[in-house]
Amino acid sequence: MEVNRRLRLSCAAPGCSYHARVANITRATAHLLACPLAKHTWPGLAAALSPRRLSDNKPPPSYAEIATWAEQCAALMFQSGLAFGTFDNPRWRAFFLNISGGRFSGPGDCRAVGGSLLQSVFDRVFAQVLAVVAAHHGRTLTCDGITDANPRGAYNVIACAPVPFIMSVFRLGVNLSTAENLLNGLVSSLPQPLTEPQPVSALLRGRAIPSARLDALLGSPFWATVTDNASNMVLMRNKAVESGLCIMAYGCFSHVVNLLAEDVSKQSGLHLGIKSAVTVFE
Amino acid sequence: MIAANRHNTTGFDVPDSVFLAVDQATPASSAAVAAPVLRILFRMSASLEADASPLSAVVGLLSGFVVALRTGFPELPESTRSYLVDRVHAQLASFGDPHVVLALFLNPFFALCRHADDGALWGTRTLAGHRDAAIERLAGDDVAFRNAVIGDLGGYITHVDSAAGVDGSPPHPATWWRLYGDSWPTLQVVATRLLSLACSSAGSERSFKTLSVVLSRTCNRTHNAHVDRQWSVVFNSRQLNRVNAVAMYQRSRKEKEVVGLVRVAVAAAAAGARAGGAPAGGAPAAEGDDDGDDYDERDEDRGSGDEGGALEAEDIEPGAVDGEVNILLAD
Repeated sequence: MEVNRRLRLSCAAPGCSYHARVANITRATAHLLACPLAKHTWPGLAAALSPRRLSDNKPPPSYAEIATWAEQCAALMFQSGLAFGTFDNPRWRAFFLNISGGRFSGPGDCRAVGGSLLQSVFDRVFAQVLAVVAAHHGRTLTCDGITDANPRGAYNVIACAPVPFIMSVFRLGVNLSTAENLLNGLVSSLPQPLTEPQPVSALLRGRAIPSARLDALLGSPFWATVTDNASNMVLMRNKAVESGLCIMAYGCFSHVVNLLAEDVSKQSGLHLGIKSAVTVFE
Repeated sequence: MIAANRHNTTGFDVPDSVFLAVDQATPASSAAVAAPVLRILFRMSASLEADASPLSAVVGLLSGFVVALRTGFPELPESTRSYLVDRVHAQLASFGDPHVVLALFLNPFFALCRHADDGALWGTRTLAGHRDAAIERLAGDDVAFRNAVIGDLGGYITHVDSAAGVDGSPPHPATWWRLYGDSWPTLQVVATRLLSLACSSAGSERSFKTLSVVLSRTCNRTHNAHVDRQWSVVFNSRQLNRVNAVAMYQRSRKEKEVVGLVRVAVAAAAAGARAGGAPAGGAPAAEGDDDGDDYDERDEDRGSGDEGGALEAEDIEPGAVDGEVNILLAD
């Protein structure tokens, strides 16, 4: 019911005058479980509201099992982009208890989800990523920047094997985005195994001629660095070659094709049409 | 339509400047002229942005684009076409690297494309010049390694040219080298890695989409460290489900069309050279190469241009070049 434009929860059992001062589901549920008038009116109410009891055949879950469920649930939350506190309320906890027979109440509060669970999921996924990247020979490093929703600048460091994986994210903060700062940020944010020369085995060399130069090439952490064509990025990728992080560096050719498309539209006069269309719609 | 101004029921006066802009731009005619070229470029961009797109696709596709500009697009003025060819060369000179050209030489599927651009593709160097520069950079001071790579490259080119390239739907070039590259062991080690390199930073751009899931205007108070970890988890978890991109690689229809176009153009140029007794435009680069390096000489000795090619001038029906261009421009 609504009183003074605020929602109140009242007991609907005949003769009961209970009404909550705030719309609190937990308190209302506790009242219904304790209210004799409600029990008399609706005999099945207590069983419906109580968490389902464990089956006699199934032993209660161990702490390790519950921790695994929580991590799996948190991993799905992260992959779906859900906020850390999505399931941190009584309704969701009651729902989880209900469907699990009182065994699992959800991944926990937002501190647990955003803290230990996020770290453990991140460690597990990143270990798999490192294994895939380390097993691929001829890796490419790409780096690009974005201004996020806050808005603050962030740079991602991607290793292509050849499927791209995020290796790290770094921010320059108040520092200028010069080539030196970008390269320092990139190298310092990379995992240690990917910044050092790799050991070269005979299997890796195959039947190629024995050559110190070939071993140096095969042991290079990355073969190429690819960035867009901003001047600081061009300088950064050239410095990456000089520093020995990679063997070669070139610009993103998808950007090159886009520049060619721009040339085509300018030459044909199409860009004037686009501009005029924008003028009309504005 | 603009004057009717149905957008607003109460109506307002459309400024004269808008009519003037529309009249000057003649958008319909300019769009009709530019659309086929833009369509090709957008398809090429999509092909290059694939995760497993080999590095060799860059020069291969752009060579095909140059051939298309020279032989097709009759609605484009000649000055515009030559300007665009110059822009392709300029963009490659600015953003490229000689290793990208070496990758083209190592892809059997694009065997014909290395003959497609007769002039200096990047600055003052020919494709062969850039290929040599790449080998010099890779080998450094190691003469034995350089000679082994050059020897393997000569043997590989002989093999591919005698087989007239690779038709149909061959596997990813890196897979091709693993399967069939045992005869050239030193080059095999280099080629499998070079052809696995990414040719665009599309992966970086795609990851930003994931960031917008994690950090949005309505959920923007999360600490940076948490954002970075969740961003990494979301993106990498999805990528781990598709790590076998090279094995699943399928050559795009655009690449096949480009190679078909180049094949016809190269064969037509060879036919013109035979008929006129002099090299025509679009003749194989190795034929007129005056770099003076030893393996170019070997290429010339082998007659890598028309002798090895399977296509003869008689195989091409009149108007076949235009037909290929039309295929390229379709849909």
